[in-house]
Amino acid sequence: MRDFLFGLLVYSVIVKILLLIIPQDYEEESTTLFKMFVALYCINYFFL
Amino acid sequence: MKIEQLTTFFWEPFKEQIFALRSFFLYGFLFLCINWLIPSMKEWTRFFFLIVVIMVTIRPVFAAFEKMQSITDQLMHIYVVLSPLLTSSLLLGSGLFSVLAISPVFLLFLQTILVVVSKFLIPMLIATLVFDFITRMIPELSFAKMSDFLRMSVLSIVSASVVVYAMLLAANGVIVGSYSNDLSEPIKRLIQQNIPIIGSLVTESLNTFKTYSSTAIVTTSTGLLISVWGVTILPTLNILILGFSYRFMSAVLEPFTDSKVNGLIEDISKTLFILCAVSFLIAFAYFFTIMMVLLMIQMQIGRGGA
Repeated sequence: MRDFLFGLLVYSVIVKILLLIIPQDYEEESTTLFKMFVALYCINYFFL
Repeated sequence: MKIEQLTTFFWEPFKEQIFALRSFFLYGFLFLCINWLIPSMKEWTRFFFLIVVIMVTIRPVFAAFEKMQSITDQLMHIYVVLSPLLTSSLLLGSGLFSVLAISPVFLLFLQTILVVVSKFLIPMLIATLVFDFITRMIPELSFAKMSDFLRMSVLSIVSASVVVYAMLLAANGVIVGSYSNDLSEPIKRLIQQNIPIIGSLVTESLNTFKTYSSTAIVTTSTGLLISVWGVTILPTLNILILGFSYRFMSAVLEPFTDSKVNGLIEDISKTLFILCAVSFLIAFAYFFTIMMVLLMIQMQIGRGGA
């Protein structure tokens, strides 16, 4: 659980930095993409 | 000297918050200057300011969590050694121990509580903190409902445990109350209204403590009981004061910062109040352990009362 939380925190910081770098025009698409990435990470941790 | 120590104990969390406030204003001023010089960096400075807030506020919170975890672990280690001794003493001196409503079932319950707190409740609260940070950092990726769910689950488990404590004591006839409700009712209402989230839990737990103490006084002295009480309740008080200090900081910062920073500090204070409720369980376990060891020593020495 500790690894999962730490990973989630690190990925969230990376996602936030990428969201700041990516131009505003693509914000919605990139946010959706990152949400899917985090969802996959959670599924991978708990179910696989 | 004692008064000075007590003042330091109560004042230290607020001093830490004032230091944090000073840092926030300093960093805020720095980031405002950057915004003024490079307007395109506005989003970046906001993000870095949130990181600064997290870095500054997290240290006392994790210190509180570490302290609770170490107290719980120490108690668990003590139980590994004391369990056989206490159980055999309970069987040998059942008459003396029955005065304090301590039975093997109660001993087992105390051990279970310690395991639950150490393995589930404290990690759940740490997870709540992480989810709160992520929610405030990326509002699009909100874990607000998850952290609320975790907080409520921990609170429910604590409430259920307090009820079981009361039931186990009541089953032995100890908790039949003998003090006046007229006197305590206004104080109870005051605590319930002024301590957020866990006010009623605090009053009920203190009530159980108080009623139990009035019975325990049969076999121990008042001074000793007060000392034990003081020692067991200190970590809880410390966390309660820390929670209040975060709430105070959130109130002070509200006019000057955006809702993200303010909300994050308020979430931390909520989690600390729940940790305070958890620490009540540990305080109970600590109190009963000391009482049991005291009785065991008294029994070994061969005198009934101190």
